Amino acid sequence: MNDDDRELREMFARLRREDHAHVPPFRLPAAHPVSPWAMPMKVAAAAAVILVAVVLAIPDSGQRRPPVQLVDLGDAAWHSPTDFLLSTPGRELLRTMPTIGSPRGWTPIEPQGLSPASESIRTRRKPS
Amino acid sequence: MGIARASVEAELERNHADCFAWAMACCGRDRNEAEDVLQASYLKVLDGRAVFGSRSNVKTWLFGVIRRTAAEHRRWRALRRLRFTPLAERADPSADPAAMLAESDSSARLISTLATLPERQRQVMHLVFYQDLTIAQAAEVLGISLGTARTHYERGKQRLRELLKLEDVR
Repeated sequence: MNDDDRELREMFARLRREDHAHVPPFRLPAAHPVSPWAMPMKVAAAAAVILVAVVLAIPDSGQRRPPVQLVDLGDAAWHSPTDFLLSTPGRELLRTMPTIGSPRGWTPIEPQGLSPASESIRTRRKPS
Repeated sequence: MGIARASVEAELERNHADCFAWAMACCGRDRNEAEDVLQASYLKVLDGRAVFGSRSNVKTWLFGVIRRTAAEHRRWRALRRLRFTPLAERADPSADPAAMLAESDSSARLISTLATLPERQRQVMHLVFYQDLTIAQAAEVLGISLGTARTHYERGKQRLRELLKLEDVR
């Protein structure tokens, strides 16, 4: 302990002596009388709260619902509301087998008003 | 581990002066508030709301109860003041000059200098220098680590010396 500590301790000791001269006399606090019913009342209140919570948490089973109509599944026919999306144009072509060669009754269309250059290309492609 | 009521009462009476001084320190040296806090703390101890742990000695345990009770009291008072007192009438309770009155100049100087320290430093200073507790016991009372208490002790002591020297120069 250095001199500064000693000086501080002396100051605190003086304050302590002065404080002790003004300490109020010791007296025990007036105890609150505890009612013998306090505990049972607390338990009853807690039980009531739990009961109310349970009653509120249970779903209302007595609620009236519309009567269920029985349906004979043998008579039932169901169609999807989106069936029309499957009816694409030309779907009959997708369901038939394609044939090799020109179809019967097919006649080529003669082009009209072609330029000389395109005419020469057409004639060159024709087998002689 | 509990203590028999008779021995608790004996301990309270034996430590009463120190407990009152500590309550004063926790209440900014407001005598009325310190008395209220002390009575509330004794009641807690006697009706078993504050339980003695075997890890501390009775004095540090009592000081801990008083510190917590003073903090509760302070919060409650602050709330009451906020709710029931108009803004213009709110006053600083620690600025009561009558409460700060001390017999000697030295004590008055010490009290006013201590009041300028942060709360934790002030409490550590009080516990170590006034109550002659060790820093470890002070840490136990304040519910802080030993390292933190040591830091508050060193800083508080240094600041206290500086402020007291400044006052000497004046």
